[in-house]
Amino acid sequence: MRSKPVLALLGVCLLGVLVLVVIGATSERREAFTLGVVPSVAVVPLDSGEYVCQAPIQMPDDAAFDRIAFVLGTDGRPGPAIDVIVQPFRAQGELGRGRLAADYTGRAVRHVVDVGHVDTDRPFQVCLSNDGPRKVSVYGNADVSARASSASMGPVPTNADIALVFERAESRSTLSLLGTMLDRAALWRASWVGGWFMILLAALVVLAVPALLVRALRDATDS
Amino acid sequence: MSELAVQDGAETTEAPVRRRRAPRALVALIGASLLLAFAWAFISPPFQAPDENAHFGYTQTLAETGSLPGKETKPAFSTEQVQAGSASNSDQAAAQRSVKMTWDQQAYDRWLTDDEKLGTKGREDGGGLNPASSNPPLYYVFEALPYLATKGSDLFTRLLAMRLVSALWLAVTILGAWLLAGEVFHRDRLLQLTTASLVGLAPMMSFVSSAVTPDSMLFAAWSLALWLGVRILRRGVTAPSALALFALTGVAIVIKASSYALLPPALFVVVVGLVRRGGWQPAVLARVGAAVAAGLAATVGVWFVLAAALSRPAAAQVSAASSTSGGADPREFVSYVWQFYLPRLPFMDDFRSVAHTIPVYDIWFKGVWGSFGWTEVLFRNRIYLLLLLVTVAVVVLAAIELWKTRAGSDWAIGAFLALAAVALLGGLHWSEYNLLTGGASNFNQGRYLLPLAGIAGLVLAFAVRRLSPARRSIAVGVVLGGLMVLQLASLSLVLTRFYA
Repeated sequence: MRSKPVLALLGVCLLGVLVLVVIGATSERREAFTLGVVPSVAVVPLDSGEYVCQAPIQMPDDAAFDRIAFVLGTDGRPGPAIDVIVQPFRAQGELGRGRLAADYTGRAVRHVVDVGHVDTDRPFQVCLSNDGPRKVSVYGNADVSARASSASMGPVPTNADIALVFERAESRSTLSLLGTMLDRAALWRASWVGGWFMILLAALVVLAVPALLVRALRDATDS
Repeated sequence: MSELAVQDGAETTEAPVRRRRAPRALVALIGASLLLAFAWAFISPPFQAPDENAHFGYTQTLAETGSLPGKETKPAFSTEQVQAGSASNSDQAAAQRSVKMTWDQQAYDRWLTDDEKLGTKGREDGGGLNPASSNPPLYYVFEALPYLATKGSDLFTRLLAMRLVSALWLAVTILGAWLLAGEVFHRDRLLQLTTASLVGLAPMMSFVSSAVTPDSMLFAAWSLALWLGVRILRRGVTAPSALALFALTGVAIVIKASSYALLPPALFVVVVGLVRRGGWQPAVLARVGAAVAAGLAATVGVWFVLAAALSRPAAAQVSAASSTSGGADPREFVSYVWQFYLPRLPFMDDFRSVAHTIPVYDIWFKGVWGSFGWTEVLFRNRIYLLLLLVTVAVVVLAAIELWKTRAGSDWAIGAFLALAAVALLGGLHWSEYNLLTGGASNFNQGRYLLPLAGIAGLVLAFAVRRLSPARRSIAVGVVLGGLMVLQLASLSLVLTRFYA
């Protein structure tokens, strides 16, 4: 009779893992990475012809992107067209470019612009350029929000960070990102902790914990 | 429960050799629970547990300088910690769901190079006021050991070592719950396993225990104190047992001030124990009274003397929470407590709350079952509704079992455990009420109830005992499997929050 409790334990575990796998396989994510800036306030007002650049930005591993999301606010009138340009930091050339069409309205509205596929291991910058006749506000937060980069208008620092989110054209399932997530989780630990260690740990948890619980249940049932 | 007294004689005839061996079920449960807690230590990002940065800073100041933090002229954290928090983005990610940790390997490499250049000066210049700086020092003295053992390593290695050592307290917490259930359930192994499994495998227990926070040690002290209290009620009070209970209560107070809530139930145990001894003979009273005083003097007393010598408030958290801007109003306090647990009535003043619904659900219930990071990492609401359904079913089953077996129950054990719960809740509500009336925001979090995990485990075990003997072990199998699944779901939730 003692196999029934063990079967119940393992059955629940198996069912639970299956449910988690299904959820992981069906939940999709578009976000490649973010600067981690919350778009709380309008930080940079852009008049006609002005531009603001956030730099330097370093793309993490496995985080190539195709679209950039940002938040703009208008004063109630239709907003101007915005050019979005991705450039190497302190170098010539262009890594990607897109354009937000004019005539959007609203305070603190999120926009997403296709810039083409960008995949680089070098620092880059993202510039938003006002290509219309009217003023627009770019949302972000204080300069400390993204410690490694800052927003500036030409050579003039804005003492702020723009809230930028980098997205993929095609969404990926959370499950397909598992290896990447474990790699990322291994950072900011002891230097000997790597992605391989995290995978080993995950395997140990999934296999050894149920085995130990089976042992505990068998012993308690026998007693 | 009183039927246990009949079994006592039988228990004492067991062979001593057999008694010395730890039950294999307990050892296996502790092994599984520690493995999960260690996984939490590696998965949960640095400083993404409530006030972990403050607790690390406290330990660093203690380990590096030998002094306690809280000096107004100094910065809250050392240069090393500020730079680490900034480079990893842990400061910015705290409590901000849309903000992630830094994922960039190059940023880590750059930080490592900078950190090596910083030297010891960059570690010693913290020690100012932070949310933990008024805490008693016991836990931090303990945590200074892994810190010093890894002193030659970088900050994140030291933090990881501190987390892993802190997680070991979970083993003591589980042991306490196992022993507590042993007293209540005649050493029924299955019910002991049920009680201890909730304590060891509930995701919040693993998450909090594996972070750098005095809560891990606090859970252990409360778990053992609850066991000792029940043990004394069952077996009678003696001077050594009173000494042990009050020393443990004192230890809990020197870990965290919320443990003053253990004093009323501990006193209750001693008074009931003395009454049951059949009289108030001066010699017995003197012995037990001296034991109580000695237990407190050796722990809280030492801390009070030390605090006075260091010109430091010994119970700063208690006095801070007790001082109100406009004075306490009992009617208003009752209104606040009502609104915490029930919908507000039309004639009541509205108490501001961060809760979306009723605080008992949003703060206590969700916080106890799953509220990770800086409490911003939550499951979808339907998961909590499912957990609510299960919890209500368990409580109803346990209530039926307690009612049906009330004739053979020891009221004092129930009263002791209820008093411990009420005293803790009362203290937490009093603190929050004072803070709210002083203009502050909500203070309470679900994790503050986790010292009562052993009692929750007993409720679960009572529910299991309501089932027919043939079904009990299957039910325990389902409980263990369910907790394991909840653990995996919680770890996945944290992983996706910070790294997807």
